[in-house]
This record gives sequence, structure tokens and C-alpha cells, in this order.
Amino acid sequence: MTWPTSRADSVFREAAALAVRMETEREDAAIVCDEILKGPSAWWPQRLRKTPAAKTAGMVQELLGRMRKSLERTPVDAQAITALAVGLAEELDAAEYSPLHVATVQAQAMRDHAYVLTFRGDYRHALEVAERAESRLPTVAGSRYERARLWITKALVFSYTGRGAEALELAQAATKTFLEYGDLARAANSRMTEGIVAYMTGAVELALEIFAGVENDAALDDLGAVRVAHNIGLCLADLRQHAAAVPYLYRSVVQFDARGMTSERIRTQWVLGKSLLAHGSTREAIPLLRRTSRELVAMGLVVDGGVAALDLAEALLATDQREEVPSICSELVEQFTRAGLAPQATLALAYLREAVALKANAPKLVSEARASLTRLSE
Amino acid sequence: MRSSSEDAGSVMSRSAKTAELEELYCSIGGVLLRTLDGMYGMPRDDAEKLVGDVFSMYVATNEPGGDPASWIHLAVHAEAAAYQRKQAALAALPEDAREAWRLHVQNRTFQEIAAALGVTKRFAEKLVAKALAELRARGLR
Repeated sequence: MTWPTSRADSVFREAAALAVRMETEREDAAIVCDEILKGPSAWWPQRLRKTPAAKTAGMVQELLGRMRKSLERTPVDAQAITALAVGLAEELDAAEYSPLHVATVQAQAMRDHAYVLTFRGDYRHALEVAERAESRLPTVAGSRYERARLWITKALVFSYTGRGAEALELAQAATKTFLEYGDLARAANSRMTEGIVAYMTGAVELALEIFAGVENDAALDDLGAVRVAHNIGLCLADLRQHAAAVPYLYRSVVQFDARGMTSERIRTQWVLGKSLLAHGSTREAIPLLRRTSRELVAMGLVVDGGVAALDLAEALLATDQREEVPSICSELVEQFTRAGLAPQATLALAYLREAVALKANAPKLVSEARASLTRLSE
Repeated sequence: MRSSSEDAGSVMSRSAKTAELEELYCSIGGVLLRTLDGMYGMPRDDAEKLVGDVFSMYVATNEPGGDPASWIHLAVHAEAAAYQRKQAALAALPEDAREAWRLHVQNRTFQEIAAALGVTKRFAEKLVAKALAELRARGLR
């Protein structure tokens, strides 16, 4: 075998040795992880501390892989996993691997932790952790790829915190970098982030244009394709093009369901119910909205469940099925009182219940009650 | 606890991984160095560092997308293009700031940079900051 050069040679030999080591560590970590991540997440840090064999860079990357599998179903566990990964990464010895390798693994752990925090709505901490990840990343050739992955997370945080222009700039820069590195799948997902950023900043038409541009991108994986369909449906619904939105939303509900992505399925089902209602397909909308409201409440999302119940009430009133509405309101008043939620919202619901019973101007009161609940969720 | 047969399997896969990386390096390492010289006019030292860093980052990167050979090829080209833009930006700097930056990226302390240039530590910091500002202005850092 001919080696091309002496200096690149020695760097390569180190890199190859690390690659082999990482592979071994990942194999071992897969087994150790099964043991550590058992039972309630509160037990995991203690188990990790008692497992010296787990203190490797391979374990950090294995934990990050586990986070991806649990994020949709159990976000709280996903956060516990990335917190473990960050703690472990901070303890890695640069002399044992290489400073570049350790710094990169630390930045990866922080980036994924920031992503989970974003997913859970803790934007302030997400940004802090993402900034730490960026400062930790090496600035050598080849590191822009990892940086681009971090930019995607930062772009999401910015889009949720009113920094839309910066978010769009970062997402576009990430797409460009992935294309330069020939990673078409990540470039397509990055375009999706651009679309999400546009949507979050109120540029729904631009978002729709971006999502439509990646709809038939062969580089998207199956889940990416479902998300694009969902996002297109959402944009069309926002633009009041309900007839066009409904098929996209139906497809997304079915596919999220098939993947066991319950939370995403329920939220898409809700948008679908509202689109059907707006489109005049009230009889189709009613069972969907009823199911959505119950499922949201069962997930502990009482306010969202309440808003969905009001959508249901609106559908029932539109089809002259008033008799069920007072009992829906009574149930909501009870749930809100039990959850200790704002008295104004409870009062609005009680008022709506009485008004419907007296056949007063119910649609207007539904809007007022919904406004009360929406203020609560904000 | 894994059985011995599983261990044997993992030893084989490790060897396969090393062989795969070695083959990749031997097949494209020399080509990349020649490309960096011919296409980008990059000095040999810088080219070797760039190729070495890209390989190291490939190993450190968790789940890089696409085929390894094309990832490394394209990464080297992307970084070489960035290198060229950076060189152009640095060429526009006064000589002392350019030299201060060169020493800075070699991880020299400000004290060492100051000693090498025969200036105060504070002025060395200013020179590096000036270079950094120029690179940032061109979106390079």
C-alpha cells in the first residue's frame, strides 16, 4: 500500500486509529446503554456514574442516537439522555482521544441537547447551550459541516424567539454548506428548516413555496416526506386553501399514526378537523375534533384540549346539534377548575354553556371563549 | 456480557473498517494533494494539514451523510475554496496584521506574537483583531 505523504500520513493514521476506537466504543456503548436507560430517567445518572466502562466518546454518540429514537414519543426522557451526554462529554480526556475529537464530540452533545430543549420550548436555555456548542467546535477544515448542523438548531431557536432574519440567514448558510459537502439529504432537511423559519415569521406564502420546492426531492427520507406533506397542508390551511390542504393533512395523519408519532398525529388531526370545518365538511370534522380534544386533555394539554373542544362546539352549532354543547362546556369548566386555570377562561366557558342552553348568539360567544383560552395558552 | 463469537465478529468488522479507511486514504489522499496544488495553488504544508484535518473531522463527525469518498472529496474542495477566499482576504491586510494572524492560527500566545513582531502585547492583540474583522467581513470566520 502506498502512502501519499508523510505528514498527512501521520494525521491519517491517528484518525484511522480513532475511527476504529470509536467503532469499538459504539458497539460496547450500545450494550451498556440498554442497561443504563432502564426504568425512570431519574435513575440513569446514578447508573452511569457507577459504570466506568461507559465513560467514552462512543457512549456520548450512542446516547445521542438514543435521543433521536425517543424524542417524538418521550421528550422528557430525550432531555434526560442529552443531559447525560453533555455531562459525559465534558469529562472526556483530550489526551486520550485528540483535542479536536473531544471538542467535536462535546459540541455534538451540546447541539443535540439544545435541539431537545428547543423541542420542549425552553428557548432561553437552548440558545445558551447552542452558543456553548459553537464556541467549542474546532475551526479546522471540515468542521463547517458540524457547524452547519448546529446552525439548524440555532435557526430554530431564533425563529421561535422573534429573530426571524438571523434564523433564515443561518438556515440558508447551512443548506449551502450541506450542498457543498454533497449531503443532499441534510440539504433537503435544511431547506425544510428554511420553510419552518419563514412560516414562524409569518411569511406563509414563502414557506409554502419552499416546502413545495422540496416536496418531490428524492434525497428526503420517508419521515422528511411526511413532514413536508404536513407543512404544506398547514400552510394551505393558513392561507385558507382548505380544499387543497385536506389531502395533505389526511396523508400526514395516517403516516404519523403508522409511525407511532402520537403527539404529531393529534396536532395534525386538529388542523385537519379545522380545515374540514372551514371547508364546510362539518360532519367529517366533528368526530376528528371530538377525538382531538379528548386526546389533548389526556396528554395533560388542558388549554389546547379546551380550544379543540370549542372548535367542536362550533361545528355542532353549525350543524344544529346544540344539545351536546352545554355538556361540553360543563366538562371544560370542570377540567379548568381542577387544573386551577384562569377564572376568566372558566367564566367564559360557563357563560357560553348558559347562552347555548338559552339559544342565544352562541357562535359569537364561542369566539370570545376561544380568545380567552388562546390568551391562556400564549 | 458478549459471547466470544460476537467478539470475533466485532474484531472482523473493525479490521474491515480500518481497511476501508486505508483504501480510501490511499486511493484519494494523493489525488487530493495534487488537486490542492494544481487547482488551488496551495502550499504543500497547508494542503497536507487541510487533508489531514478533513479526515480527522470525518472521523469525529457523528453520522456524516452520503458516501465517505465523496464527503471527503467535496469537503476538501469546499475547504480549499474557503482557503483561497481567506488567502485573498489576508493578502489585503498590512503585513504585520497578516503575520500576527499567521502566528495566531498556529496557537501562539499574544505574548509570543508580540515578541516575534517586536511590538507590545496590546498591539499584537489589535493586529489579530484587525485580521479577524477582515475575515468576518468577508464571511470567512
